[in-house]
Amino acid sequence: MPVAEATSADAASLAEQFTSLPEDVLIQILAHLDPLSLDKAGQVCQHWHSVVSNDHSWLRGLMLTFSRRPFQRLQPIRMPSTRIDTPGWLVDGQLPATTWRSEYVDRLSLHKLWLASSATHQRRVEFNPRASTIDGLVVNESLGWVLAVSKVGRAAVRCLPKSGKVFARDDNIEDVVFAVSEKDSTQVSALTTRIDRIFWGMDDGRSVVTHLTRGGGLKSRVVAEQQLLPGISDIASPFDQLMQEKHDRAITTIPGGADDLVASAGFNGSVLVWSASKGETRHILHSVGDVPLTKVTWADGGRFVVAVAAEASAVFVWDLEAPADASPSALASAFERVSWLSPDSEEYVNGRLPPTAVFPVAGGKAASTTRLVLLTGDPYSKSFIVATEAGGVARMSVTGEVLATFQLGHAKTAGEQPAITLTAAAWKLDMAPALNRRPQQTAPEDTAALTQTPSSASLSEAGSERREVLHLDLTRATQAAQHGAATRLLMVGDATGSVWMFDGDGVDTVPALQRWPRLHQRAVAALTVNAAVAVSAGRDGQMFVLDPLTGRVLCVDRCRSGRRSDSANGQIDPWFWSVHPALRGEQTALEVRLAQQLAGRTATQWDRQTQGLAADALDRGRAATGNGELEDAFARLSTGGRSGHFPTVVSEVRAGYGWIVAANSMHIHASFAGLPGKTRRQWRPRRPERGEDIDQALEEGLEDARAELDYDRECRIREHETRTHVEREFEAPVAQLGLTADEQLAYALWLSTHDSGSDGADGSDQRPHAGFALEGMTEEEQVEYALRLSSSLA
Amino acid sequence: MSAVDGPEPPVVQQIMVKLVSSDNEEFEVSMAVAELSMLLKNMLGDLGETEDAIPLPNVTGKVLAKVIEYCEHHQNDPPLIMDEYDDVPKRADDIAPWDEMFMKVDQEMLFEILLASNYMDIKPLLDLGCKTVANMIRGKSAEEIRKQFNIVNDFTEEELAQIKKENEWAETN
Repeated sequence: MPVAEATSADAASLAEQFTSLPEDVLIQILAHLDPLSLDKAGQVCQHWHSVVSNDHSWLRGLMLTFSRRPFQRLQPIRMPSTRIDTPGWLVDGQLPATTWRSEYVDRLSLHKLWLASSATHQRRVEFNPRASTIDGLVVNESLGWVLAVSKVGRAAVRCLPKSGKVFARDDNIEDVVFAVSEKDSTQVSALTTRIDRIFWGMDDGRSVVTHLTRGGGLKSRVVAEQQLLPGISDIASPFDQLMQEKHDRAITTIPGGADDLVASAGFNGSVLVWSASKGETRHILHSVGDVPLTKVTWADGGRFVVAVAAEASAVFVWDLEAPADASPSALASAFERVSWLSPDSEEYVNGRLPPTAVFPVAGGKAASTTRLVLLTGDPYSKSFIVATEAGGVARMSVTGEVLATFQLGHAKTAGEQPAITLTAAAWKLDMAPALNRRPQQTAPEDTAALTQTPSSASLSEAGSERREVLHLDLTRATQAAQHGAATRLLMVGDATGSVWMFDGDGVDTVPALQRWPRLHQRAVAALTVNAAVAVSAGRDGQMFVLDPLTGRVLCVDRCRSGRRSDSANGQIDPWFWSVHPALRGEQTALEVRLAQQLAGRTATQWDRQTQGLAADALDRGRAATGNGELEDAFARLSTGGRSGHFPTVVSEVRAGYGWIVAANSMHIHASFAGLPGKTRRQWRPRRPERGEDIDQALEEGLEDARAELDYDRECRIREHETRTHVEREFEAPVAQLGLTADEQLAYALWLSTHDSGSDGADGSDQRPHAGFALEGMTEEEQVEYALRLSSSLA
Repeated sequence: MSAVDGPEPPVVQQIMVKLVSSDNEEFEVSMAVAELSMLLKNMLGDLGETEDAIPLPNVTGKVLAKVIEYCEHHQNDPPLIMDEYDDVPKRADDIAPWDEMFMKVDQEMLFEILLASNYMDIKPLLDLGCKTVANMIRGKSAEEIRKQFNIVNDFTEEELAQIKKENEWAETN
């Protein structure tokens, strides 16, 4: 009896104990718990409940699990749907993501889903939307469709990545939309996609806007596929005449702030600012001379236009609110910083707006032809982010000061050059920077979560703060950084496959938040980042889903389309010989490799600079094999790749919290985080998962046959594009100059490298190469001639 | 003063400090051991070298012995790696074997250790205690937790129903 009494007394004191545990100790205990256990603990007694009800307990749990405070808060989340018959890819979340509790729960759930999908590989679809080479993606995750936008095809095709279904063309519904009428043979040279619009920049200098109407109908749940399609209207620009004069080639078009302004930069060195809805030209901005501008962006909510001449490493800034009578002489000092420019240009007359500042790109090699990887203006401050191929990553102000440099460091390996060649970059602005500091505030409009860059709504919301000078923004940013809450994230990847992530708000020298050295075996091709995941895609077709906080690899995915690497290991692709008869001759191995590399590049990488470079190299290297320049050019082109391997380069990747959509030359690859769904026909990927051995062999055979067909089509389209490039770039000069025999050889070689001898992909381009030495030859004859010429001289 | 902040740890180690528990038990520990407790470290910093015993009125002799046992075992540990942004140590779910054995005590002692380490401000020990308790809570229902720690359910029926309703989402996730 006394024993029993003693224990009951003990029990009473114990009860006292754990009920009266000091609050800070209890918080520390609960921080070690997962959300489910935390909730259970909250049901134990009043005291514990009050502690669990405190959001701070959840933050501590989150921080212990992810080892740091989130860089960006999650938007009100919709968990990936496990059902396949929901129209969108996600269903409504149960909690608003404004509390740390929901943040903790959602992050853990996403973690779990991605890890599960990595283990099963069930939820992935790969298909060819038949839009020719894909250069842009518009993702509408609410309605569950993707627009695959193609420069070569000059068209956007709507498809459903969840089922791998491509919409069929229908008279009533426009699910394929063309930039220009099919009779018009003008090529698209630049492309920008938004959630609701596509901007096309044409070769002849025109710009075209395609509006996606009803695209914002997030709530509409429709069943039939036809009804799924909001109508797309094709609005040709009504100012063709004007644009034709101003741009000989439009490069980039990016919409600006609240006034739906759009800027397009041309190869003739001018920027046109126009209204997307009205089609009126608002400003004509001129750089100096005919410096080709390759990238243009907006800063400070549409007040500044920043353009970069990549080949010259110069930045031009225009202030749209600057007084109209700003004299060019004020610029003199600015011009001194870029040695090759002089302000005595005639471009400043006629009321055209001169740049308010001109300065060199930070981190770029002086006067080199370093390529631009990223140029993004910041809508909230007078600054922009610039990243160059040579490894310079910086945040600069519109007056040319370097506000922050991002430290890449070096992934050291034996015998490697310390130089870094950046190949990809991504920039993510938190849609609700205030959320980090005031968690109680309600989140902004949900639609904002869908866009990668700020929508006009959020910009006008920030409009009151817009006039604040830069240092205010930086103070705020520094405060945020002290609390470990980055509101802007920057990711860069290089040619060795390493990936870095930075706090975009950092100042001075900014160390990396996360580093993934040698993540890929080949160069990084595309990056994307959001609050929940970062996705890195390599030139080898590997895609990594990374957790930005812990740096953990959540899921590894693979784009499987394109050539298999083993079939072409160290060998020259058989296809290559079939379409390049001229190269059956006695060209040097180097030339073959160079040409092969050129042919292997997808259309998106086919930029003017590389092409010119390759042509130059071919030109110079024609006499002396083993010429260093040719080697250099080859090295530049291959970007760390192995020869003989046809790259399955991911050209575009988009990611939400629970999905990835990547475009891989001709294919779209979609992955969805989640537990394996029920086996249903709809859910099966286009290429079935490996089953039994007999089936497997059959499937592989079919797969190869399909790949062959796709390949053929791809080749023809690429060839078509190449030919138009060749015509534009080389014909006129060749015709004008009297060519020597050597030059003719170089030209013939160049031409034959890219001429399969078959017809153009769409038949609209039947002209023979007028500039070629002998007029009136058929294409076969031309090839024959090139072959003879090259072999006789080799 | 100089002994506390001095740069030569070997010298510091030799200095002994006297501690007195609430039930007047006296302990003598080396300076290095005592300095694992931030409370003692600060006190010693203020007092300088002292022959006087330092009273710890909130800790009984039985518990203090246990705490000292821990500190002596861990006196040469590297300092805890703290998170860059907040005072949360990096997560380490695995508890070292010695620590696990050390924590095999009855719940009263566990509770006392938690309080003592909190009072004496010994971060690694507090963290260890929290982890141990958290492991006891994890995966249990509310009723099981109550049973484990002898906690009285002081909710009314309505309150309980309300809380259950709030937490419905957790069951599905």
